[in-house]
Amino acid sequence: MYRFILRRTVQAGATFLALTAILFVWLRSLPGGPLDALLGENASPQDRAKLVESLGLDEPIWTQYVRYLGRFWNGDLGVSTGVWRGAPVTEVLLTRAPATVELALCALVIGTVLGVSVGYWAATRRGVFDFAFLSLSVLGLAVPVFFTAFVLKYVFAVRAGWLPPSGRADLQGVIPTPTGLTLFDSLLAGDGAALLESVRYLTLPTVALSIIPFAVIFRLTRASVAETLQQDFVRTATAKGLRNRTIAGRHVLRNSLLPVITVIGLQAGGLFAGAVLTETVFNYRGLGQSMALAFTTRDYAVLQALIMAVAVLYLFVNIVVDITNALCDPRVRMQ
Amino acid sequence: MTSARGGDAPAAGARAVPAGRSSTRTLQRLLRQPAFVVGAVITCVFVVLAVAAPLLAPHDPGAPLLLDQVRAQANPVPGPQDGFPLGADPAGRDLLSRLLVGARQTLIVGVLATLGGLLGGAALGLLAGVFAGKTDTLVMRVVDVMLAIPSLLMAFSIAALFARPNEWTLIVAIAIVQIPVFARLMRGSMLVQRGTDHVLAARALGVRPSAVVFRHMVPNAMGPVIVQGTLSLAVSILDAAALSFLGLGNPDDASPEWGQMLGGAQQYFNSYPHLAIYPALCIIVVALGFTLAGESLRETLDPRTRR
Repeated sequence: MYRFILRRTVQAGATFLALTAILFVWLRSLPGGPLDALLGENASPQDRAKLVESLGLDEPIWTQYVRYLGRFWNGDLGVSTGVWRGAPVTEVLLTRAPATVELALCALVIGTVLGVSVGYWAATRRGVFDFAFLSLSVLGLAVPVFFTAFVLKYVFAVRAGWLPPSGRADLQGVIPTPTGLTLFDSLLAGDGAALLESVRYLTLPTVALSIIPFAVIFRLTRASVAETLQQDFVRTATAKGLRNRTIAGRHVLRNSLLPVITVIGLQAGGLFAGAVLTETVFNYRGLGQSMALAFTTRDYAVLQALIMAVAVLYLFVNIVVDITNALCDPRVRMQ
Repeated sequence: MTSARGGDAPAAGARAVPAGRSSTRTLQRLLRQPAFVVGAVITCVFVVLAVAAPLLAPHDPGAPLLLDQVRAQANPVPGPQDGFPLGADPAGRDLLSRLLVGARQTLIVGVLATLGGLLGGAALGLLAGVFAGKTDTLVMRVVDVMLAIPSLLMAFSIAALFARPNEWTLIVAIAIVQIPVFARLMRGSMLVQRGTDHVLAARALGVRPSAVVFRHMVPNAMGPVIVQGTLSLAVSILDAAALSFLGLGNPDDASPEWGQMLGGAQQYFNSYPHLAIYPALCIIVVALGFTLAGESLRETLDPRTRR
């Protein structure tokens, strides 16, 4: 088992190195090159010359790459040239990360819990209910995420006025905010009003973002459970006279959820891309919205850091997924 | 005739059925599935509309015909009226014509992006599957690195590389993102082919290696790749819409694409939702069509693959 974990970690490390190389090349091939990216297009020639020297752009490309890795290692990701002109990228990243983590986690948890439970239900009961959810999930995958977000915002915020149309609960000064996660902080402070406020702001973005993970996980669970139900060991379990609940938990779900766990890992990546769109629609101040702003202002320092952060997170999630799979299924370990 | 490609895909997929099953039987099985019929009908209607768009469109999609109304009224978006059944956009251009011509642009972007990804991915998968060993490891590592960045995010990053985005940046960005999926599929398919008896027989008969690969292995390995292509068409169109929404699409809106229309309509959403709803509905219906057709194809041709 430890060897399996070690092997996967080394593999991920190699992928990460390759990624840094790609991002390095990416930063080089930007329109106007790294100078424009760092200084903006209207920098003076003196500033440019100074930067060439201080960045060592006149040195061989390998030296530059090694230095670039060194800066990463020290947490120096450069300075924003766009919306947060002059602010260190690390700071932008850290202040905005909690909002996105909160949104993405809520969406993933809701998508997974609903997807697995409804999927199991649909597979065991078939019929109208099954058909309705299957159609809905196919439809859910065909609707652009940002359009869903706009419709939700229009119906529930602009027209009905039940929920706030944009932004995020601002609890600064109301209760202590040690984590920056509004739900968690309100629970920690035991403040009901703050909790309600957080939920009100989070509801619409979470619903918009959870539709795709729900649709994917629902369909997979449904198919996987339907297949497991056909297996001989389920018939044996029934013949032995085991209680239905035991069969469902021990035999059916446990064997059906392997592919589902893998897909949850894959969804984690898609969630961030979805967050870019959803956060923009709801003007929700997280990493995704920063990224959208960075695209429009061509703020490459911020973009680079965000892409890197997401890729690292994604690699990490997938290692966790692989390890979970290996824990559940001894066959995976031997591959 | 690239534009007929979407309609061709089902037939091509049916032909690639393994073990010499008669393709008519497969077609019959497909036609018994309502999901496939709905998907195929949507796809066909879409392709016909896209091809015939210039004939069907009542006006020039780029001409600001109702600009005087836009200027004169406090109301900046002219509603439905004589000769303009859906009204006009904020620049006074006929909405119906724009939607029709948009079908063509959307099809072009979707097909070219998917085709690019398919050819690129299939070539990589072919290399990996044919040469195996080190080449295989190398190609698959590259694919793994590409998969380490979430696909839509990678499309955003590629599109952001271009200082002046246009239709082609959109196509290139989406095509590159699709490469890993096709590469994996093609590699798997080729590896299966390597182990089959007919390939062994061909090699034993002394058929040239290139002929073994291209006449015996590739035609049989392409089935799943083409089916995935149908599904990827939906993804391409949705991704194009997302890119346009973020301002990374084609800024020239004289001949619009649906994603671009949708992206441009966002700022009017609260007052004039119909400007966004029409293109969005078109995208949804077409994406649904490709998905339904593609998934029924996949289930019919290969009951083992599921996702």
